[in-house]
Amino acid sequence: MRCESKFKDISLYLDGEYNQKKREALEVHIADCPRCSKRIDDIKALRASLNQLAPIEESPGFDFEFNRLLDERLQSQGERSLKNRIRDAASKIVDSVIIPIPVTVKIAASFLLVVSLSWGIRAQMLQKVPFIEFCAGEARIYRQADNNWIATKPKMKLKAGDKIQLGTGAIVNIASKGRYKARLKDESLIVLSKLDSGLRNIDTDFSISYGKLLVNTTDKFKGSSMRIYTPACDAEVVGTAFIIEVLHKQTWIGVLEGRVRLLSKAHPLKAEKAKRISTYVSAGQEASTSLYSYSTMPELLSDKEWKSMLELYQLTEKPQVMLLIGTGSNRVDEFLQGPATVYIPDAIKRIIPNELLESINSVVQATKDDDLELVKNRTMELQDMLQRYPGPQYNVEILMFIASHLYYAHDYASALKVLEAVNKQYPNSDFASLAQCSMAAIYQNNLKDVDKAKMIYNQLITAYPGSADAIRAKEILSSQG
Amino acid sequence: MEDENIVIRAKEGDREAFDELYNAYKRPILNYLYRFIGNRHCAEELTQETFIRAYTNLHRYEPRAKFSSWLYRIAGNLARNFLRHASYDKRVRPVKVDPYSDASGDVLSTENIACPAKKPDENAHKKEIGAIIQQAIDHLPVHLKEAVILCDIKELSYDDAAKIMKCRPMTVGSRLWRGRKKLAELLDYMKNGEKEDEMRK
Repeated sequence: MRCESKFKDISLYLDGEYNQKKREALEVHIADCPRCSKRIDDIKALRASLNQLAPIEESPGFDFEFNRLLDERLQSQGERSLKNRIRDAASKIVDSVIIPIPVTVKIAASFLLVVSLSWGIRAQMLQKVPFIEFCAGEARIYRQADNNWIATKPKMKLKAGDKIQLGTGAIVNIASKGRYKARLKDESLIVLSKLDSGLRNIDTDFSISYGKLLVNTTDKFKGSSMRIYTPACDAEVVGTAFIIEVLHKQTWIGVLEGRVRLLSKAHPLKAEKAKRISTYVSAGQEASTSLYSYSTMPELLSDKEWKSMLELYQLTEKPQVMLLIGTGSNRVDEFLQGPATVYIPDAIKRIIPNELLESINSVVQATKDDDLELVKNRTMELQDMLQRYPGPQYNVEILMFIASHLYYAHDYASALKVLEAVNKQYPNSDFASLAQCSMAAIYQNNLKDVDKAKMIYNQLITAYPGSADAIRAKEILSSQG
Repeated sequence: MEDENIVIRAKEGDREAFDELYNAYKRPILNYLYRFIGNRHCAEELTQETFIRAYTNLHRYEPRAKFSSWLYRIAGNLARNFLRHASYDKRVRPVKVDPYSDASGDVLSTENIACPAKKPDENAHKKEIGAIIQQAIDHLPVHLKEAVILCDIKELSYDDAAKIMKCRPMTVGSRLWRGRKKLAELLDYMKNGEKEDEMRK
């Protein structure tokens, strides 16, 4: 049998480091193996001889020398001890105040801090990167990285250089969380030419070759920037909601809120001499520009255009039922002109009870059928339903909806009651002044009670002096003399 | 433990208590250092330095470990530093022994080492053998040397040696067997060299 045990095994065995099983196995082997038994003898002999090495003793005068050295050292230390004592006292105070933290924990903590901070910053920056929120119809996206057109999908993150093309009737919603929402419509070709995401702000540049873009920014947009390049002009966004439509060499822009700065384009051959003219298009205005000419003077939106602008409300993030109505001083007329419509976002459909939704739909259906009696009945039913299922997200809007429909059905008394309820119960709402103004208009136009109307107009002016409806009230009062 | 009480007194500035410790440990430490560096004069100096350091750093000693282990560790560190610097300083280099050349006329054989009692002039022979073994120890690498001195000369357990060497007990075992093997080889080589020398004569 070949001897496989080594010097190591014998050494550990002799020191008693092996357990019984190993020891016994080795002992059996050693009994047969002359090499190993020699090894044992060698190690034992070595140990014995090391053990028997004669210990040495210190030389004479060793102790004396030691004490002299020690005293010398203590003396030299004593000279520094005053400084040290002050330092020690200070460090003791520091130690008692600050809980001692092991260095490893400190390193780990600072590492964690750095990682979480950078992660947080990254997450903050990524959060604002625009993505495709929703898409419908024939829409495709071109990415330089993929070098191929692919169909758009929701949640797709956009990158600078992305090209999006839409077919007829298609819709693509682009959202940058907390900053803006944009909607591409119909036949459009748009390029995301620049995208800079900072810690707080996001700079986005769009280039539209043709098509229609709706943009609605939020309060947090302040500090961010957005530029839209069209063949005819450059548009710069100043915290706003607007629609821009590009038809070949013509650019049309309608603004719902805030304002947009339009910058005309000079002909390349005259670029050096020509001045670029900037035009501000404000809320409720529209303007158009054609290639190499200045933009038209901004004009008020027409009714038809105004209606189309209301689509922008669908882009806002608030999960709230929305009464589709403008903010200008003529909104009373708009409100009383035809039954108002409400927009119910998908997000709120989960909050609104189904019975209420069905009731609203039945009112809308009755209006379409133009059966005034049915409209009145359905609206009454809706009123009952709202009393049964009230909700802060939709109470005011639906009450206004009801009032508008009761007026439409010529039930002025009921309409006045509902408007009065809105004005009294929701005095801080956007619609309180509108309700009051509408009441006055109903008294004046339909009930022919001019004194009552005057009284309400005056109340409105004192209660909501800055509102668009107060401006309207002043106009009416002054026209009456 | 008795040592611990004395240490507490010494910590409070009792010089007599420290003298007690000094007297109890000066020889073990001196011998440890002597085996470590193989030079009596330097070993004495380092022993003094060990106790000076122990006295001035008593406040740092925590009774978790044995006082003796703490002393050995100070001594071991001093010895290692000394050997590192000594390799640049021939003045304090321990007696140079080259196993490949024979300088002394001493007779060395494993039989002699194994059974020193056989010889009639015991004391004289013991001294000779001791010198030869010390020469062999001087040629061991520092970490193996430490294990051999602590376990085979000081006869400490693996655990106690591990505390001094600041490693795991199994590491001590490993260093110990390698140290023993190397030591046996060195002694063997010296013996063979001796034989060749005789043959030449």
